Amino acid sequence: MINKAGNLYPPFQHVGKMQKMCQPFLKSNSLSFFQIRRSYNDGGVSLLSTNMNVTMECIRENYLRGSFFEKQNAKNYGDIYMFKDMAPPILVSFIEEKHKIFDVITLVRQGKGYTDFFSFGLPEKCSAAAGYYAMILRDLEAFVADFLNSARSIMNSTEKHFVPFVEHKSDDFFLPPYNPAGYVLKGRKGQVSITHEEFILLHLIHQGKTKSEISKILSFPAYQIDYLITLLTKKTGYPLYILKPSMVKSCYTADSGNDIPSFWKDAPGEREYRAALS
Amino acid sequence: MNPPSIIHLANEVDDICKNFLKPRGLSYYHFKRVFKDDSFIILVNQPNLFKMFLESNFIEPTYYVPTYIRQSPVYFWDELLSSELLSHLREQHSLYHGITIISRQKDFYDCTAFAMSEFHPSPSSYYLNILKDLQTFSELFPKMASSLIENVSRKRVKISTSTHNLSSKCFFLPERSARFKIGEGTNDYVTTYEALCLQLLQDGKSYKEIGFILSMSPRTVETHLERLKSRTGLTLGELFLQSFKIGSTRKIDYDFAYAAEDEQHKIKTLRKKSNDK
Repeated sequence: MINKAGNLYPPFQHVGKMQKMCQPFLKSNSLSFFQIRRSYNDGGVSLLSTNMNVTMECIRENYLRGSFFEKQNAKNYGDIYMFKDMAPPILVSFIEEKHKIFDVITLVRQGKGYTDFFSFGLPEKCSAAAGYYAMILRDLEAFVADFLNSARSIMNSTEKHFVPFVEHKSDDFFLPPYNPAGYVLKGRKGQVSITHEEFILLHLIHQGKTKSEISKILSFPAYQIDYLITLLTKKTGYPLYILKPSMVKSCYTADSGNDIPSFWKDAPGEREYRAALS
Repeated sequence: MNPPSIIHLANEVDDICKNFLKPRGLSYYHFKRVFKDDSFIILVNQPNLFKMFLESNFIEPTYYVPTYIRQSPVYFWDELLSSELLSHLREQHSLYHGITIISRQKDFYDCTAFAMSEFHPSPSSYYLNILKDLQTFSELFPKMASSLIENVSRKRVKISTSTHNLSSKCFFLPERSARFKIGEGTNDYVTTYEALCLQLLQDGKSYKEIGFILSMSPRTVETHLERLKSRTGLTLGELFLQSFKIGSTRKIDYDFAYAAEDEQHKIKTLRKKSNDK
């Protein structure tokens, strides 16, 4: 695939680099396939993988279908999901037969303005794939964290030339869309209002992220996060381990739908988000 | 074992794990400790199931254990148990999608298992998400139920040899250390116990906890790590990074360790014989 400017499409330039970076890890864990897909909240996706053919396939046709199913189901799973649990069996068998990639697992990580999907695949059919992944889960997580640090320059270069899929505007099921009205939480002494940033902070804490990771994502200094957390616990009267993102409700829920201001009703991605909630 | 005492125990076990299981949609829990002389004890959440364990030791993949599962501390019932057994569990006891976590120790190994009471569309990805919670609970349970375990371990049950096909060391920690090569130099190697200490330290455990898990004193853990540092000439932080790159040290090859242990044993016995002569 050739760009408008006549250059190779950036993902293809980096396949060699990616293979060099990832192969020692993939070999030692007997994996064969690695792919990172970064989908931005304002539409568009950047793709990088160790397998040329699969990226081609993703860009041409199958990507659209795959992302559709992922968007539908991603909310039901958490940070980790198996591809065969979520995708229709036709798609799974297609990838197995044509590209020889089996039992794909995906880890999800959020950043400010985007979400990352890291997926790994095995070269052969494994009778106990989930058990195998459970064994190497910590290694995978460490690899993902390391990859984000070491491959920052490659990611930045692809950021400018992402694949423009404008139809899929909001991939932000994980970080909720910005709500100008704020959020409400049932505290110990009654309802308490919560800002958007605090809501995202709750999400990240619930996923088990460390303070330094959160500070990178939200671009706060680390000491400010401590302050935010103490504010939250003081406000609600609950300790942190009781607070969960599922307790939070946006000010304009489906029950009190009449109160929604007109400018917010037509906001991009808001309708899909509400549909997904109900 | 008398039946009334068993039911009483099941209620006590249920009290301990009720608060953990309910919010996660789980219904079944069992804790099994297998000792080196092929005897075991068991603590179950549901009293009806207890009798079955005495008749046959069935929740164990005795007939087929792939090597990577032998290394791994986790396996899923849906993937490893036979279809007859799974259908039996579903129809008779309404148990779906079990998972077993194994923790190795020198003299015994613990199997803790969880299962659901209803069908779930995507059990493996659900379990992978809550795996960390399950692992911490399986670590905590022997401490919370220490008095119960002490009481039960007086009356161990023996596994009959016909059902127990595994070689006896399969899930125990190896007694002696084997060497895994990192680099090409003569000093660039890591032994099994050093690798285990590194791995546990990286998971955020204290020296005391590591010592409890590996059944050695916290002071020996320190000496293991110090010897590793002085031999390779690397700091702990560099070792954490390096072990990740190599891959072989974090994922310990137990089969290789057992084989090395056997060889050392053979050599020692040969030497003894020659000395006697």
